[in-house]
Amino acid sequence: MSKKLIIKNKIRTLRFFANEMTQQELAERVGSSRQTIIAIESEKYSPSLEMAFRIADVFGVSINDVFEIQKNDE
Amino acid sequence: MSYNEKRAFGGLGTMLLVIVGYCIYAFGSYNNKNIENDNIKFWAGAVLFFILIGVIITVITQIVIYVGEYLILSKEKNQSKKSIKNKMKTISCTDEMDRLIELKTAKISYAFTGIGFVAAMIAVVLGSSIAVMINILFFSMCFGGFCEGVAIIYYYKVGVSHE
Repeated sequence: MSKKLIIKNKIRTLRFFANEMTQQELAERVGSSRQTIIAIESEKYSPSLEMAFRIADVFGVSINDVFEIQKNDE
Repeated sequence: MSYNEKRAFGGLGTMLLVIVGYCIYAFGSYNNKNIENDNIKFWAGAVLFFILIGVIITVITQIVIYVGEYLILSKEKNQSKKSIKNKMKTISCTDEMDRLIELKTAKISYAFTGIGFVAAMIAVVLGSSIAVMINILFFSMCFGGFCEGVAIIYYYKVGVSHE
């Protein structure tokens, strides 16, 4: 039985602790569009490994502090 | 609504205009001027003309949407020219999510065009005229483009996965 991975993230919380950083600012620093940041934050899109590292780098934390995996039986 | 969704809606509108315009012009002329089914020059000319019209309307629509987005941003308070420029850059840039959506939706368009091509060949083999073949090709292309636009909007609204 395959297990579907659901990737959760803490971007909203991290933005709050980074002086309420805007999605626009994060998008500019990551080098993507604001829409993509919105989609990642609302878990509608899972970023590539490269972008995940870039997001973690902006907040100065490890990738595990931004993203976590939930396993669901399918 | 995001910039990319507006662009997709613009594309859908353009596609609808082209289809409606083609139907009115080509089938109107066909009924009124008694154009023969074998008149390849007329049918090919009509298809080419509306493809050209489609390209021109698409370019104009994209420019209007871009300028509109710029005007909306410039009306916001406390905006310097530099910040507007930066925002426009992040709004209009194509990133990995856009590329994934593009990749997934392009498949739909290719599938319809491919099916249309096969259907057009079958129609010719079964004895239909060249006009039928050209129309099947044109409509399958348009329908593929339309479905691609709908899929783009769907993916931006609901989200997209790598699976």
